[in-house]
Amino acid sequence: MKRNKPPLKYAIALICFFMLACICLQKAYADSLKIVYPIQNSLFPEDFKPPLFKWEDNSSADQWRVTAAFTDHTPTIACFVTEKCWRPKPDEWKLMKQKSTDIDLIISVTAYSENKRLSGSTVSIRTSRDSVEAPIFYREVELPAIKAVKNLKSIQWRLGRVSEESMPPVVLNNMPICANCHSASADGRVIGMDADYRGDKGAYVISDIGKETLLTPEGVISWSNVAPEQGVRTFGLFARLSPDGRFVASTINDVSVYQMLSGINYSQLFFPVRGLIAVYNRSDRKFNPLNGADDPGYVQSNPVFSPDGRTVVFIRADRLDQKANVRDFIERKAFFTYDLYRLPFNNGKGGIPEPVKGASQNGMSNYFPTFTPDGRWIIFTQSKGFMIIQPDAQLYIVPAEGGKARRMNCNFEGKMCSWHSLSPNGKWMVFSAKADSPYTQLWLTHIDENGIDTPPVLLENFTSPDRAANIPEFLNINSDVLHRIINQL
Amino acid sequence: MKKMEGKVLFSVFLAILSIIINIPIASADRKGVIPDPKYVTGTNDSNINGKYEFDEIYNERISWAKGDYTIRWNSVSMTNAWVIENKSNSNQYYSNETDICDPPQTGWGCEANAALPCTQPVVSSKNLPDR
Repeated sequence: MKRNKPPLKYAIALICFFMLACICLQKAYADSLKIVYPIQNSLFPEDFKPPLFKWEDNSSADQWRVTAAFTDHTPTIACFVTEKCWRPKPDEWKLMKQKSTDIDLIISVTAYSENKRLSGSTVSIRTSRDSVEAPIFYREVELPAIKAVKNLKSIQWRLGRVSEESMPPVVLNNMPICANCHSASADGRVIGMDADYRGDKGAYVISDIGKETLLTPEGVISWSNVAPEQGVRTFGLFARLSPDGRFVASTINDVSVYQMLSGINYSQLFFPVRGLIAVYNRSDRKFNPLNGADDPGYVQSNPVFSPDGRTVVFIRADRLDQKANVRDFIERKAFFTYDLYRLPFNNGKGGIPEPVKGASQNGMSNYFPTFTPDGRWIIFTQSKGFMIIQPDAQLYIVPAEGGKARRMNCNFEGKMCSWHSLSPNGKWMVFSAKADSPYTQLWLTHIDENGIDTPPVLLENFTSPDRAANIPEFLNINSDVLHRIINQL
Repeated sequence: MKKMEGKVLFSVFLAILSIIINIPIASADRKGVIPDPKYVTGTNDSNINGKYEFDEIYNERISWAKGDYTIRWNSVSMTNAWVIENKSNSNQYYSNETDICDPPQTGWGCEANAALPCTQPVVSSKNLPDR
């Protein structure tokens, strides 16, 4: 019996060693290859163009086998590639979409060198039965911001569809201003944009959307003289059309902190510190401050309408203390934060503002509210402070009547995710993110009726590698409606 | 002697340059050509009001300073403008988007750190009596 003990001990040790080696090898096998796009469990719209699958591989592989295997008897899609990317052919992608509406489609990538397997990884994706349909209107700018400001005419606007394989066409360019703030009515008939008309920074132009949408002097209104305050100019920040296109709400007497920052990633600090909200009624062509959002003790800005037009949600904060040190803001030693407030619109008469629970008084800055088209949810951006281009900006969703806010699944951890817009059918949300580049790209996430969103997919052909895409907005129009916006101001 | 000629030629060159780019200059004394000071009046902030001396060339234009406070061509509110600001803490008080070589006398608007209620400054090459 004594003689049996040593071999048993050795056998157990050998088995342990073998298992450990297997685990290590398996880990090394998986670790050296990582599929970076698509994101695990991402959901594609059924009208999405073939995406580019991309992976990183630290091994010495010189070719990779990509397979998309189906659970039924459909033949597996398989091919060898010599670069760390693969785009399915249109007919392959069509099949992949058809076969992944109800179950996961698993894409495998295996690295080879001289016919020897080196590493591999898989990613699961699905396809939604919901299509996007509507095109996305967005702006494309150079970075850093100072470069764009010095060359405003380099800024251009494109109108893109997720199904298109080529880069979306430019529909507006050569504007002498940033024209940041644009919005369209819910029915896609009317568009409004910032304008700089005859030296009036508070000018705003409204136009009917057509094949050739004309920005003409006849469509210009001015926020500058609604409730003028001595020495305070109006820029008309964050103007927004009501869903029926009858009203426009905007910030007036707006004063902002604006600083250019060094570096390309987050190259400006911009946030309003004074201002109130006014309304323009397109029916009787009258302006009035919006009661409940016109308190000079606060900054009130960034108004949005609920889909039924009965409620306005806006951002509010105490007006900036004039002794505040802007250098502290730049160095992020001090922060300026906003709360979301809601008030009854009452056809422009306003009412009593109330904080939106879950998006206010939480020690964070809450801004860029957007209602889902069914009116059930508000999606907003949250960061430690300020508003535009914040490195920690993340997207949150909260019940429209207020409640517990939830960080959305589409966010990239520690990367700016902001500027969002919901598709007219309410199924998809486009947003800007600095996911893997200083140049902001547009991403798309699916949102179900419970407000649950999916890991996003990239609108990869929407932007050049040296341009940032931002302020995307879905337009509720058919594909052939808008070809060009012509500035006649 | 050659040094003297060089100085004279340089002064003449600066004088011609200032005429071309419309920079008001003080009398060309022995020390060289120095732009006239600027006087800010009319604001309700005693730190801002006062005499600003020639400081430096900033963003390709002359700037004036009074301690940390400066009048210079800079970025503000998504555009370029003449700005009265504090160099040390980046606070901005007043701006004027009129794109001319010299800070405009009137037409200034209030920025984020302007004292309230907002009163518009007058920027002049003469020391105007305070309003």
